[in-house]
Amino acid sequence: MKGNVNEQIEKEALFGIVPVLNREKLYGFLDAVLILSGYCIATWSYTQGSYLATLVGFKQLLIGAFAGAILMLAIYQLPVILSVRYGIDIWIWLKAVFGHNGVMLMTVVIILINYPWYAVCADLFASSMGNLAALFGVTLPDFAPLVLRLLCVAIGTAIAYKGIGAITHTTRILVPLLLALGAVVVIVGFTKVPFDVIWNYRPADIGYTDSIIPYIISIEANFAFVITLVGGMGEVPRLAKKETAGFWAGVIGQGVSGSFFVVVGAVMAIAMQYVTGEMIDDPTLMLATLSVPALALSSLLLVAFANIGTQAVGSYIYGVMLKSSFRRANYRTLIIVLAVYAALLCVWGKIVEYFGSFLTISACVYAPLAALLFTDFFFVRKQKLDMRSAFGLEGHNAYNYTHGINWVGLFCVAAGVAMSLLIYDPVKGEVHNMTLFRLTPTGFSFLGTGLLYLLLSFVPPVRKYILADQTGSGESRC
Amino acid sequence: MSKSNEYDKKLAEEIEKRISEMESDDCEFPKKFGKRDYIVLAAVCAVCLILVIAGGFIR
Repeated sequence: MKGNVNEQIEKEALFGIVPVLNREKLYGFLDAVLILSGYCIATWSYTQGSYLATLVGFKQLLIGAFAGAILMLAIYQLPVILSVRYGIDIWIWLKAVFGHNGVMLMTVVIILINYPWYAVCADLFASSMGNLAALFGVTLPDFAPLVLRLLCVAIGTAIAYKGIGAITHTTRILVPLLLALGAVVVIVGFTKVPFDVIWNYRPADIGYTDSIIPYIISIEANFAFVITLVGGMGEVPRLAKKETAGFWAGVIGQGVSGSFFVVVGAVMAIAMQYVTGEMIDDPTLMLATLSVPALALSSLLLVAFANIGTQAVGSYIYGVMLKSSFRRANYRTLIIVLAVYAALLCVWGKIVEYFGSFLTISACVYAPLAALLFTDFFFVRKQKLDMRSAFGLEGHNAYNYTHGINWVGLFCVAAGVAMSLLIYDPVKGEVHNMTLFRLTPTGFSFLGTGLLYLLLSFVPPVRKYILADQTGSGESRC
Repeated sequence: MSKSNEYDKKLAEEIEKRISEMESDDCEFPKKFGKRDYIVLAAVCAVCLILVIAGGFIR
């Protein structure tokens, strides 16, 4: 049995990367948008919504959540047309940008910066359970939140441990549950609190000298929130039948459906502040306070399963991602390593407190990654890839660079991270350069990294190094 | 032959087969993102950018 799961995962990780031919494509626009909408909705959307509500008023929040998100998505996701055209994930193309070993390194970095989302998820689970216990008059001991967070990680990992079958069942239940929870929160929020209160909401003064700063931070949070999807943006579009369908499905899935749930989180937080004087991002507590205990109890089941389900799906996705890079490692060992990492973050216990900093730190790496993919696809490699070298087929070595690493690509990522940190310190919340800060740290890093990579590609020795697939080595290019 | 080597070999064969098919003259690709799509995209980006900038003036 143990061997079977590992073999299944091996097939999934290895054979899941082959180019999908046109006749094998599965998704039209509607299918793709529905799947991607499900992929983009999670309970942490509420955390994002409530975080935005601490920064800006409701109208600015709406603009940032929809227009800000769609603007960033429409630009950075444009290279998904390569996934549709060649039926490959973006990570295959990124082998041209970073080299084979460089991609392995980036996979580990991406997991390190992205996996804290699952600690946020565990925190929401613990908070929901604690609030519901309080609702029934049970006072939990001080150590209970930590135990509950660890329990969420443990159950999620146990589901992922069982492999693809358990994950498929979990996903089928998870997405409708999250949709139902969102619908209930919207109905309760808008019926229990006057519409004007939400529409005219302004946050309390949070001490910024210039009122534009919290607005820019909110736009940055939206940019950062949507750009975290860069690693997985090609998985569904590679199965889309048209380039337009694959691209717009991603933009609408996150920019409309995902953002709707962020706004739902904000509505909930504003309604809770109106009623209790406190900003809350926990749907269970909101429903318990604004509705009847019976609804709160049913929401307990929804929130509990949603968080555990998200944990399980995340554990599985990142386990497979690691497995495709580290082929000899055992899948189950990999997901236990991921669980230990999430557990350590739970023990630290401050991931929600540092949510904004965590978002911007993640985007520090994601923005250069997205910029490199964009620039490489449109302006450097001009939509041509040596597929055999990208897949590492024998005798095709154009993307081996220096011991498997394209140092130009990695240098640009490091420069992009530096650009972001140069204008804004996400931990202390300090703006270092107000002029460039208006572009947002993510926006500036995206533009700066793309431009740097493009300029470097014009320098003859660098051009020869990064375009080894175009120097007459006889490689065939699609 | 170990299982992982066997997978690697099968995988390489499958990839080679698919790339060869993609290189053949009669291979069909998905409908491309055309000029009209780029115009729509530019319009969407422009509207979003204007809204984001305008949002900064809301008090």
